[in-house]
Amino acid sequence: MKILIVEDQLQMVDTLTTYLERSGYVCEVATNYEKAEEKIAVYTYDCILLDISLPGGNGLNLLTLLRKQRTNTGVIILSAKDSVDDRITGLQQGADDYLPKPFHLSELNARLQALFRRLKFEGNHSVCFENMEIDIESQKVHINATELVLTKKEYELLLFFASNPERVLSKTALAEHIWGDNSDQSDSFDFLYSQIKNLRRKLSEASALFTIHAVYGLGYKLFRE
Amino acid sequence: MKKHTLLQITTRSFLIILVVVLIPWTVLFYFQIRSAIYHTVDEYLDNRKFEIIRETTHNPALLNIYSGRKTDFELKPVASQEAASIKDKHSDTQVFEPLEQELEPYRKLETTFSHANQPYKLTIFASLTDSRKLLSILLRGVIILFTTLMVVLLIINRLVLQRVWRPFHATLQKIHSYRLDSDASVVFEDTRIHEFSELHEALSQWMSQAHQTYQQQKQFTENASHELQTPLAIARNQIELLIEDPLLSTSQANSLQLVEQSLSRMSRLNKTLLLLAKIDNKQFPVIEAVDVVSLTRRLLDELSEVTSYKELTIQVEVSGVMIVAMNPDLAEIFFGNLIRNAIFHNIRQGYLNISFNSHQFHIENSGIAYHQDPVRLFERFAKGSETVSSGLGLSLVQSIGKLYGFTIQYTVRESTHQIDVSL
Repeated sequence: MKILIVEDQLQMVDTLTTYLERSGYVCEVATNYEKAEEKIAVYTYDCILLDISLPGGNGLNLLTLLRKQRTNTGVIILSAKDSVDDRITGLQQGADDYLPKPFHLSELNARLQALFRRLKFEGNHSVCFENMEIDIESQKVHINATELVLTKKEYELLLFFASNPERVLSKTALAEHIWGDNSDQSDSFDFLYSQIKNLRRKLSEASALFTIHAVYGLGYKLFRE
Repeated sequence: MKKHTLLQITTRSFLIILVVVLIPWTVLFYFQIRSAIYHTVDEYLDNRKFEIIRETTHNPALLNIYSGRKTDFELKPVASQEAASIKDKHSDTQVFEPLEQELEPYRKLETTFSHANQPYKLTIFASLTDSRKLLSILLRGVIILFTTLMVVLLIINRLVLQRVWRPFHATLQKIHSYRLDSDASVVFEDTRIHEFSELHEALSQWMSQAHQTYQQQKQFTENASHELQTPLAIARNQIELLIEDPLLSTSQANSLQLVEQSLSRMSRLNKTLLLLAKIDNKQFPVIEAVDVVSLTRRLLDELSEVTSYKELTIQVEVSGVMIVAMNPDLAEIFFGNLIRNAIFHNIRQGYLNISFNSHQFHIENSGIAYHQDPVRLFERFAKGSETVSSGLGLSLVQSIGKLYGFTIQYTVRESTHQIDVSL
């Protein structure tokens, strides 16, 4: 999978490349509008991570350029602005997703996977991990072909874990994934803990070949047994 | 202070000036005319006296003819003592007029004279009726003149004021409809009046300055967001990379956890403060009809797992459709924060009641007893008790409520918390 990172902040670029390369993606970088324009014209990418405010031009114009090429490239806008206008314009002009900064890398990874599932594997809307299969379309989870009955939040959590297998997911990343901007409530961590406890119990009852481990006080991780 | 219109104030000054100047003047005028008339009549009486005395001196027989007869004078012989007590005296009197059958005003002169050592008392009369009539005609004329003058002045004042101030009212109208967030400046109509054209110039200058400042502030909001969010993103993402290091020690992991949670709190604070700034700057122009009842049901549904986790009893009572014209995103934040607030600050196995009618939203929940002034909870960074929250949730509610003119009332009774929102 080849990803173009269009971003002018070099430290941000470093962080993103480190993380994405660790996850097995191939990354290329454009740090201003002209470079991005050039790369898009010459090469084909599976996905572009696009910052809107760029030196040399507005990132939204690149979307028009991409649409003209009629390639199957996914675009996720990474914006520090988080303005409703930008979000709407971006999505209207053909972006696939909008992730306001600051975001969790694990969240980005989950969104990337969801995007690739939509773009590349048409008809195959499922995520597998060990003996578990998550059907995205019907939102059903099977372990050894037996259905695992989950609540909505449990399902969201499990899918998030399965999209980031064997990675440590911090508690704040998990809380923000299921609560969005409203994760700052006093007992969202308690609630998270109770959800994970329930998930663990359900997974072990269904004799899954993996479980959710706590990593120090930091977070949780999907762990093969 | 009670406010008056310019017209009222000038009219009042005119009236005061007219009353203060004209009434004394009229009174003075009246007395002057009167004294002039008296002076003339008295002179006539004096002349008449000399005439009568001269006549009787030439022809003493007349004394007998005149005595006891009443014409325009009375003549009667008196004792010398009585004559000595009479001095020439002019005075007002009234005389019965048989023709008119009523008393008429007269002026009289009492005097004495002697003829052949016999003193006589002479009283001469002169009618004042004509003079009085003249006086009243004059007075009436003056009053009519003044009244007309007053009415005309007031009408002219009114017309002139209306004409002169018309551009001012047009300007006022334009200022009223001016919106800092949408209009750069306002074009005022040309006027020949120097003061108004100066006012227009000053206003235009002020408006374009204010608009510029507003734009800069808006720009700053966006820039601040951009400048802060990116370093925050980098810091948080670097920690995410770090926590995957399998060689981390427990104490390092604990430090990282603290840093990570502080950073995420910081970014939430930043986000919320920017949102507050945007609301206060009225940067949410889109307005739709929001169905609060279905919005509430959706929010409660999203939170259903938390409510069942906290084992809350939830009751929703709908006694009317509640449609509010507001920005849909702000509506979600407003009602979302109220509902989440009532859920997260609730106790285990507590309750949550929501009721609506067409113009009122009532939310009531059990919670921990709170003894301070509930109004404080709406202030920025005010804290109820223990919490990792930003302390800005209810501030957002407050700001949004203010934007749309809602009345928000918070009451705490023992451990019952109630918030009423009236449209």
